[in-house]
Amino acid sequence: MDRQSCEQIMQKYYRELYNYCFAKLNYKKQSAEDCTQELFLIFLKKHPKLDETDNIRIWLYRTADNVIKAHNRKNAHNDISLDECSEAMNIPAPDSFGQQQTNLSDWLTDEEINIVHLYYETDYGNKESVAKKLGITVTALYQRINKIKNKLKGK
Amino acid sequence: MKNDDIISHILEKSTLDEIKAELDAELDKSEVDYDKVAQLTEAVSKLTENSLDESQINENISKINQEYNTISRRNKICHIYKWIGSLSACLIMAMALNCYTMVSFGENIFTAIVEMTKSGFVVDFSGDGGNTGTAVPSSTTIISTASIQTSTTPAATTTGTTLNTMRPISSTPGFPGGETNTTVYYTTEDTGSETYTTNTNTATTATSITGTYTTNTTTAATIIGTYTTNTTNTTAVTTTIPPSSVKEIIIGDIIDESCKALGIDPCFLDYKANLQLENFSYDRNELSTDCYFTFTNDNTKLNITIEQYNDKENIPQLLIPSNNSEYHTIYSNIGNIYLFDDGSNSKAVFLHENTVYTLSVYNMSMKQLEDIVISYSATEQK
Repeated sequence: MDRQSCEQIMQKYYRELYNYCFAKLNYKKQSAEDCTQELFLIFLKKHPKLDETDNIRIWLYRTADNVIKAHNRKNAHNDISLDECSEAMNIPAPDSFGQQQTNLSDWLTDEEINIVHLYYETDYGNKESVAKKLGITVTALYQRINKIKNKLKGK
Repeated sequence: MKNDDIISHILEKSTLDEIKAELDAELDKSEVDYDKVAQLTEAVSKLTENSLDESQINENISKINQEYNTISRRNKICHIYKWIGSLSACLIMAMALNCYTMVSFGENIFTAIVEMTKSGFVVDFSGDGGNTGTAVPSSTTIISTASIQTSTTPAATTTGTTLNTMRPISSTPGFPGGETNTTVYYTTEDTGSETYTTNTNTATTATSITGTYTTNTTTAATIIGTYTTNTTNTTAVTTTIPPSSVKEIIIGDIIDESCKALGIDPCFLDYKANLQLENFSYDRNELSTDCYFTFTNDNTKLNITIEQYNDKENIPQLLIPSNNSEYHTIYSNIGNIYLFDDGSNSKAVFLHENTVYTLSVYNMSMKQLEDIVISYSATEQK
């Protein structure tokens, strides 16, 4: 695999792998950037041995897992889970909301209620079909749900 | 689902937790859908407002490239250091070895290398009993008896004489072709050349004749037994022969006669040629007795030098003039014969027992010289 192909692969997968590292590293941006950089350095070092016919995407994900594990081992002492620190994400604790006996229509628009119904009435794995039905991407669906959650929590 | 249930669901987990749960579920599968993983992780980045824009990505990629280049350069330098280390170790070992050879044998390896590259290579005669045949250089072209037979078949060139390459059948195991286990040593190209005299004969006429060439070669097989190859080539040839005033002689007879008077019993050269002995001289010293013969006819000349050493130990180490000298080897019944092809001035060298034979021809072809040397036999055939 030549250097030009490597450049193209990096351009193509950098964002995806950064997002993966970010999600796996409990939403720590700096750690995610470090791991992504480490991952692609390994890729550049090993690129002469990699064949273009190999599934580079899977190779990158697996290598990312190894890099993340190594990073976690190295930083085990100062790793704080987001679950233990929900205020870091400015997300109120579930019990901070006291008005559970509320009618959805009091707080949400019809469209939002529709989204909520569709979202919670489907199992995991069918979000794509929900997003498709709503004519939005899966990411946008999650963003809408997050917005609705924040709206409800704010009431 | 009722409103209350939905609300409790909504408030039960944050969206991030939901996505994370979904991501974990996907990654736990045996066949991971990486498209879905990409969607989920992208959602995470967007929800936390930590997604990267293009400029950040490009900046990070350029950082990776810079880092990689730095590492590569560092690795190259390390590689060079490794080589320097290895070479230094080799140099130290060579120096140590040189010191050892200087002390033990009085030989400087570096000087020997220079001699080899500039002046050819040294063949150590000492301790060679003439039976091992190991002094053959690696670049030697081995010509088997059979190939000699083929190669000596002249392509319409012979001097009008009949060459008999009959070989005695030898059953010596391991020497197919009837060779005896005699080793030939090198000697200089110039041995005895100081005594050569210029041929003053002048040719008067050149006559063309047509003749028949017959080669009979009998060779011995290895342990299995003997086999005989008879090849007869009848070829119409046209060639130049010397003036009729020079009679055909058996060179070996003349050499034998002169050598016997000096107490030397040389190999017999059973070769008939229209040559006449122009000059004979000898030199007897404490180490050897040297005989110099010059046979001529017109501008054709054959010099034969026979150096019989009193002791094999006295046969000196001699140099082949240049590594570039093209030569090949014939394994014959008298030993290995080394032939140096130099156009019309070719040379042949061989050693039999403790006698070194050097044959030089002028205005004769390499094939003619080959014909002459293969006519030598270890035993007299008079």
